[in-house]
Amino acid sequence: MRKENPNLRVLKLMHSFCPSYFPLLLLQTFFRQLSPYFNLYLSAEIVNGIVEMKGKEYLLIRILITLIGNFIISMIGGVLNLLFKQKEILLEQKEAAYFHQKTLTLDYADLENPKVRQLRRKIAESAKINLHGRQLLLVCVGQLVSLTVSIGLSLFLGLEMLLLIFKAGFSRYAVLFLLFMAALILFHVWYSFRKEKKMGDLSGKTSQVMIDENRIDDAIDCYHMGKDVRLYRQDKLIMKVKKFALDLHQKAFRMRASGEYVIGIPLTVVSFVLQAFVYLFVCYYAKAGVFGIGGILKYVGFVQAVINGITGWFHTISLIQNNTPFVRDYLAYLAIPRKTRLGTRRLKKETALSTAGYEFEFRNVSFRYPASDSFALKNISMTIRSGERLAVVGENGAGKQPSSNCSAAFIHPRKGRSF
Amino acid sequence: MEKQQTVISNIWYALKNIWKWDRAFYWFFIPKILLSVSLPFLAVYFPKVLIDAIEKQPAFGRIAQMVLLYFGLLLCLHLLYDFCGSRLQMRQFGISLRYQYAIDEKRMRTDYANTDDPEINIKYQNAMNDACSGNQCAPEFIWQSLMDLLVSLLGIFTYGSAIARISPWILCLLFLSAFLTYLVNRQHLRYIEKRKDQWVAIDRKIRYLQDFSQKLDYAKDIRLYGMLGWLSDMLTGFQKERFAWVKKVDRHHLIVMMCSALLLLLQNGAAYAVLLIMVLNGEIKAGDFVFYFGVITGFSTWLNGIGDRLNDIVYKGIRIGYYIDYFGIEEKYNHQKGCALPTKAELPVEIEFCDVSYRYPSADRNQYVLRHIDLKIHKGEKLAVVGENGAGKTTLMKIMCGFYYPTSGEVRLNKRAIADYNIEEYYTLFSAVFQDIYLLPVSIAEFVSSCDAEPDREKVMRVIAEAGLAEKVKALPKGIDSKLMKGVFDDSVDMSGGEKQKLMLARALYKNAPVIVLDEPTAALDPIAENKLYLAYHRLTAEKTSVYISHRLASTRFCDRIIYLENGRIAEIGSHEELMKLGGKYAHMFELQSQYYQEEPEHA
Repeated sequence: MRKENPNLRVLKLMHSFCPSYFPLLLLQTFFRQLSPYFNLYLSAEIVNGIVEMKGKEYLLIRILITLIGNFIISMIGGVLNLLFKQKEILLEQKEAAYFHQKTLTLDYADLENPKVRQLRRKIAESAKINLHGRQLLLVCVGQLVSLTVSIGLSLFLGLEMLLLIFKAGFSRYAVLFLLFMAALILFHVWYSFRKEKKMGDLSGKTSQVMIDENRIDDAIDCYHMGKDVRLYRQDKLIMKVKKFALDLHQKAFRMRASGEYVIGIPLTVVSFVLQAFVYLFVCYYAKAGVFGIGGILKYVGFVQAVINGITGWFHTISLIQNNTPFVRDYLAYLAIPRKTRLGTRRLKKETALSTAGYEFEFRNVSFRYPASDSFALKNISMTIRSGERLAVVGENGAGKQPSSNCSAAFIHPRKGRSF
Repeated sequence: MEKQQTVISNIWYALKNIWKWDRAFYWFFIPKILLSVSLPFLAVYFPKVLIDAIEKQPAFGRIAQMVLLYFGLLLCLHLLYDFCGSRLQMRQFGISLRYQYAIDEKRMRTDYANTDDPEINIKYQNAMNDACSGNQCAPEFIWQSLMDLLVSLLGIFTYGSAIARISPWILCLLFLSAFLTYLVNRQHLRYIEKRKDQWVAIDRKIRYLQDFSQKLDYAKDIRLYGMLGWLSDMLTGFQKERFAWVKKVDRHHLIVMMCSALLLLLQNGAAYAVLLIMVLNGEIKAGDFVFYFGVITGFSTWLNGIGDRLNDIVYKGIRIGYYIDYFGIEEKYNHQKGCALPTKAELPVEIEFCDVSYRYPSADRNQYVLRHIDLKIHKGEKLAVVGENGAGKTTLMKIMCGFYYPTSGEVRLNKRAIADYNIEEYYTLFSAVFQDIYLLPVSIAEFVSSCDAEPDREKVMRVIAEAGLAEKVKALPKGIDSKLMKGVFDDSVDMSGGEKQKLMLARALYKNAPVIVLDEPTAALDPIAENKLYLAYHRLTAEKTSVYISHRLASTRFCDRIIYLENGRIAEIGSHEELMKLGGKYAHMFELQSQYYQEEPEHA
């Protein structure tokens, strides 16, 4: 059986909570991104109109289109954005209720199980400190949509330009130019892919450090810096522990900041060289009259936008990849099965107090906590008669709690049965 | 009492600290500001230059030269900008750390009563939350807010002058439009501020419910009493309420959005109109049209942002005030040089309570926990303090140890008042074990020997053995270097309740101070272990003054004297035999506790 991608499973789950979330995401992203391209397109026409002296009406119409178009786009975009934010909140609420429900219906034994507690703590910690997990997945999906839309819109402009040039005919130099730019673009894309890999490692280290630091912080906070600190001169000890954790954090932070800068230098250089060449390319054809001067405004940006979009894609995909373990944890928690057999025998409700109560029988009950090796209860057989008052005594750790928990069906015996 | 704090003086305080701790900050700060303004300006200026050049029809070579020059310059500036940015990012975390450390040290050294006081705790919380809040620590990020403000002002100035040169009317229009937008936004903010408390309360309820369902303590009850449906419905109900508020606010937001869009429409429309007229009249060229329109957009963005920037700075200034507040809290005990501690010859010590009364600072005028306590604890005496819950036993001990400051009266150690001693030196005289047990994520050796600078490992082993933990420690792979508090580090070990109490005893024994105070140190132990512990304490307090608080009267029998506290007063005082003969409250309590252990001759 082929295992389904955990990210897709979470996304499907989110979709089931709020079916209009993703469609709205797409729509509102489109309208939000549309405005600058719309403006760019129209200001190019206006500039051409001015340079080629196309007359008052031509300019006036286009200015009116720009103004009113902007107004409409921003209104539609704004309304969609508000609706989307509402759906976002609804989604979060439904997810919280779902998670809440899951925790409440977990078997008590699972709730107490240190592995489960650890899992839940991990989910909470990584969500709170690093925003990892389900939320990051949703954020990344939003980013991917936004990048795709911007790449799409930029490509539209770019293709328009290439079409015009194609109609006018390519010169030899132009082809060389294009090849050279394509090479630069490929280098840029490949290098940013590598950068993401390196930064991903650094980020992972930083995240872990922050989680450790947070744990130490919590442990020290519980110390209620009070009497013992003063009596036993433990202030230096506490500061030592705290500084240890925070120093690690600071070091990781610094490494990340400086690493990011140094690794990014080739990208910046290539990016500017590329931009320069795009400008040269567009200016040449503008000068040659293939498209108006306004074309400079329209077309110089598209290459940079496409490159930014592609590098953004790599960055987001790498974020998603680093995030997948946390998503797996989330799904694992949700998938914990309910082991309590939901029996169908109805309990007769006893009402008379004199013969009140039910009878409990333990037959060869043994119990071991999941996390320990030794049995807490060994081969207990006894009957608690109805209406009986039984006292359970013993030293600490003798097994009083497990035996009462067994009878309340909070935990289940490893061997034997309790009735 | 408090220095007059203003936002400006707060900000100055934060800036001075940054200068003190990390001067290099400012060397990167200034270039970044200048570049933040010039880079966008270049980005708008260049298209104009290019378009003008192409219109003039020079050779392509000239144009290529211009392009390459421009991008060369841009690349260098950009690299410098990123460099400054990354250096600032690297250094800024250090600033917030320093504030965190300063707050922690203050909290650990200040009078204990200050850590108990709810008002002062609020000050602490405010300061700490701000310092640890990652992206928003006020004294750390004040530089960024200032930078944003200066950038905006510089931008407004340069761009504004460019606009004024061609048309002062557009400038006036832009100011007007920004002002109106600011009014509209402020209206929206006021709308939210008025109603925020209501949904913040709902958020708190939701958070509480979610935390509640996860706690193990309530889990059994939730399942036994079938509370699942009720809890789920409650959560859904709160969520619906919260969502209703979201929709209300959004409706208001929609109106605000429409007003802003209309204003933008009018503003841009007017700008376009003016520029168009100038173009048609031949006053400006196509390149200028593009340039000026870019400048106008940039200008209005900066102008619209000024309101937010100012608000941000004021808000940060207020939050810096939290730190200044906390560092300035009052200390009642003496943290400066005090009188000399008792020498070895003057040990053991005697402690005297002279008409001591105590009331919590936040309590009513008449709610005294201790009233007119007069008590002399003799040198080397073993005193037991008994009484019902809430009678004031622990408070008495806290005052004796120098944690609380008596509301009236004073406590004297070897005839000198506590206030005469340096309080930190005074603490060295006490080995106390209180009821609440807290551990640290450090090794056993470090925990036990914290009063010394370097752990004396042999002494640590000795007190561990005396406390009854030798077997447990031997079983641990790292022995006394095992880290405590399971779950913090991978190799941290777990301790049961009884083992923790033994650890506390070991620590008190290591310190070996002249006064021993034990407040219910055996609550989590079964009777056999408890007995062993008391024997250990008894052996080791031979020449020391010691005070015991206990509910279990079995432990008071080996004390020299016993005091019975009731309602904050000493009701009875004397040795066990004397009090039993007295037949008063102590005797009654003793009878009650022992009756189930007595033999019942009738039922033999």
